[in-house]
Amino acid sequence: MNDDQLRRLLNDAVSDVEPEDRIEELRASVRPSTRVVRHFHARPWYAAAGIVAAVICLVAYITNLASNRSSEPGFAHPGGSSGPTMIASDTSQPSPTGATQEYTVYYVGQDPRDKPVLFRELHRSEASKSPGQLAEDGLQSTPLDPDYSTAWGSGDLRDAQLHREIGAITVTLGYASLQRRPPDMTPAYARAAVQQVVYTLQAAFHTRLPVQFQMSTGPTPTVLGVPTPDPVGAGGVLDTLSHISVSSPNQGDTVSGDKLRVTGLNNGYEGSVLVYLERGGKRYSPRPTIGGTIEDKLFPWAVTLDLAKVTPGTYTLVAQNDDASGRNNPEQDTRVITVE
Amino acid sequence: MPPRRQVSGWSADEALELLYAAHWRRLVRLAVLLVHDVGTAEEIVQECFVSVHGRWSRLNDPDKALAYLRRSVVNRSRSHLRHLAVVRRHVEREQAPEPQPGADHAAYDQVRRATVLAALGSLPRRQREVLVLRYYLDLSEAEIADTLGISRGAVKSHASRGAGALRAQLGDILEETR
Repeated sequence: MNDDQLRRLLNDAVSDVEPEDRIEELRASVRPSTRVVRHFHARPWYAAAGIVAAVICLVAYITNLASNRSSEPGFAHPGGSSGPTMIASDTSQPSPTGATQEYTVYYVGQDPRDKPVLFRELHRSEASKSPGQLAEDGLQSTPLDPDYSTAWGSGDLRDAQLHREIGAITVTLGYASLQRRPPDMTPAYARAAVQQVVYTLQAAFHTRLPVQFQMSTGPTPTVLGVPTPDPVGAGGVLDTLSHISVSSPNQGDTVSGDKLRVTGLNNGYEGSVLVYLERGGKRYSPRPTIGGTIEDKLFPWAVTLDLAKVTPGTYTLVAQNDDASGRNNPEQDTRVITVE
Repeated sequence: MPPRRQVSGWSADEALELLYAAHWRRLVRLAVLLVHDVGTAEEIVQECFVSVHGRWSRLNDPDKALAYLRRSVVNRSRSHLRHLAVVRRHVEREQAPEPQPGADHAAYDQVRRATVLAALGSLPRRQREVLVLRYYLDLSEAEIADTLGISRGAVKSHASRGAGALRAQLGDILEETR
């Protein structure tokens, strides 16, 4: 097929599309005091406003509590141990209410072999919502990182509740058709999507109890084609989550001084982690460190980068596991940061 | 308080205005090619602009912002289609009447455009995304690979298969556009 013909056809196909002018709506959406946006999924707008300094302190306190708990054996946050990996809202703006809470949502990304694995994001929302509502909202909203995705749209999940008396979390499917796997979804993605719900709800309710998927008529035998006649427990950490993650600094942080402390979690070949800054294809301040290997868990690691000779500017902080295969395709997590 | 200036010299508000002026229409058209509905496309792209505004301090570079916008439009379009497929299976919708082609030229143009959009919509998702990024946005293989998070080899493969499938479906139209 002639490339020019295709180019002409595609351009022609939308040449009569004149979108309506939405600049005023956009301006209103990003205005601090009225940060709302029209959503076709009626998604909640988590970044409805930033938070005041006091709330930042509160969030830091909550995060520390969560961090401490996450290091306890059996706690349902194996993806991280020392703080948020990503913050949903802009912390530079004041909140009209000042009452927000932070919650964890797992989204589907890919490992170097294109296998769907879960990454977590920390979101914030108004404090009046229940843990189950926050988890549903998060699962049914678009992730902050465009590399991640979610299988769940508005109305797909509802009524998430913890039932200690029956030893399970229950969640109801909004549509019977969600029992079947859509044609464009791979079985691996469907399994990850189910685990998305399990990990997020377990994090929301601070429990490792399994999740019972149900319809109004009772337990559903399958979800997205994945068998679910019984409550579904969290999948193995290494089979379900990314094998490396950066806990701090956060995406978008500005750092200063001669030293940068970087922390995270990993499980990789001989536990080796390489951390460096990257800009324009060049690496700066590479430092190796050791996390852990073996067992079905993630191990904490920490390293201090020397910034004394690093030119101020924006860099990508890269943390990667050693690639024992020699194919130069390591597992990695990244953060964009600014060095002052 | 005046908007905080970033290293690039643009505040988030200024970046929003400039990016909107430069890319709003083209990105909406990109989304139309992916989701086949103008209103939905506008909603998707609007969300992407709000998102890039919120992340401006982390992007802080017009090139990165555009790449982020493109990737967001593709991913949000994909999420929308996936959700739509689920809802459609559940809810019986009234089928819109098929457009009746008229004899005049405008009607013919409309049918041709609808046929191209329908043919695009019938392709597997990856093939559709690769073709649109390559032939509508004129992105390089490397840029497409980066946007979709796939290898260059996969880009070539999807482009080749997608072009072949379109050729089969749009043979008559292609003959007329020679």
